[in-house]
Amino acid sequence: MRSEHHVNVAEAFSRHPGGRYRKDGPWSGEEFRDAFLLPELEKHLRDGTTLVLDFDGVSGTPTSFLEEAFGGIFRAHPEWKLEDVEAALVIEAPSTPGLSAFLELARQYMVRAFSRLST
Amino acid sequence: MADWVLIHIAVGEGSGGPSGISWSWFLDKIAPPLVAGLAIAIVGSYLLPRANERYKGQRENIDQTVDDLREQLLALQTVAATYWAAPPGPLSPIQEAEIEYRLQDINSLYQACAPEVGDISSNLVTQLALETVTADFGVPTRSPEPDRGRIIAVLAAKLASSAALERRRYFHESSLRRGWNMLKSKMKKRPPSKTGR
Repeated sequence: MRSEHHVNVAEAFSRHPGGRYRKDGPWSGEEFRDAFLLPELEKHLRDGTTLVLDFDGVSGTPTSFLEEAFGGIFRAHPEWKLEDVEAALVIEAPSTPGLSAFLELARQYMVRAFSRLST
Repeated sequence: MADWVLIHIAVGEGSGGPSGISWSWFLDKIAPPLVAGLAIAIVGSYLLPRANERYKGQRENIDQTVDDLREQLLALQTVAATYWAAPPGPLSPIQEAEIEYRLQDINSLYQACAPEVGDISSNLVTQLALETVTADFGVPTRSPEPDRGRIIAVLAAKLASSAALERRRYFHESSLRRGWNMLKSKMKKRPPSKTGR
């Protein structure tokens, strides 16, 4: 059983995730991935633990933010394996069922980015 | 004579008096069902119109939400097809912002009608967003992908027709359920026939 580390995105990053790139404004997907997600994920992959990203409390999840943040994991680290990242990263919003379709989208972006790099 | 009746009522004597009217008989046999009937009528006249209004409001809300969802899907198809058909230009950032806004709106509208209208698959919303906002979305060096407009249109049309279908099913089932409940309550109120028919 892997130990889990819960992080609330609204508290640790921002309640209002922004666009794709830093040039698009504050709280971008690029900023989230480089300044927050990749360092955390690297640590959890090394330790064999799980990072639980909780999106409860955010005002929305722009699709290009999700693509850059989660699809960008494999563009930044093409050597990482999808199954390792999926074991080390859980994306959820237990109190916000309205986000479920877009959290699934974040997972799909990871799968698509990984398969795009593998082919 | 009037004094005599008043005295009879005051002492509450049983029936059989010269007047044929007994206060205790009235209190025992007539007053309880009369009071109960009156109470039911008052409560019913208060609750039924409210329940009806609530049902009507709910129907109108679902109707409007599904219409809004279909409108947004149609608008998304148009702007996404225009965006993906051409290389990046000065209008691209505006189109990107519009696509993002419409996708967020589609997700909110879908979530708003999903619990009532039922089985519209959330997978369709995810697929639509996945095909509309790809890894090349917003990238200044992206190539045009005219085929993407067709894929988006197919997914949007699927979602729009699925929403309309589920709305029709919901209205049909809910009016059948209401009709059945009314029928059941009428059957309960009707006293059993002596002949058994």
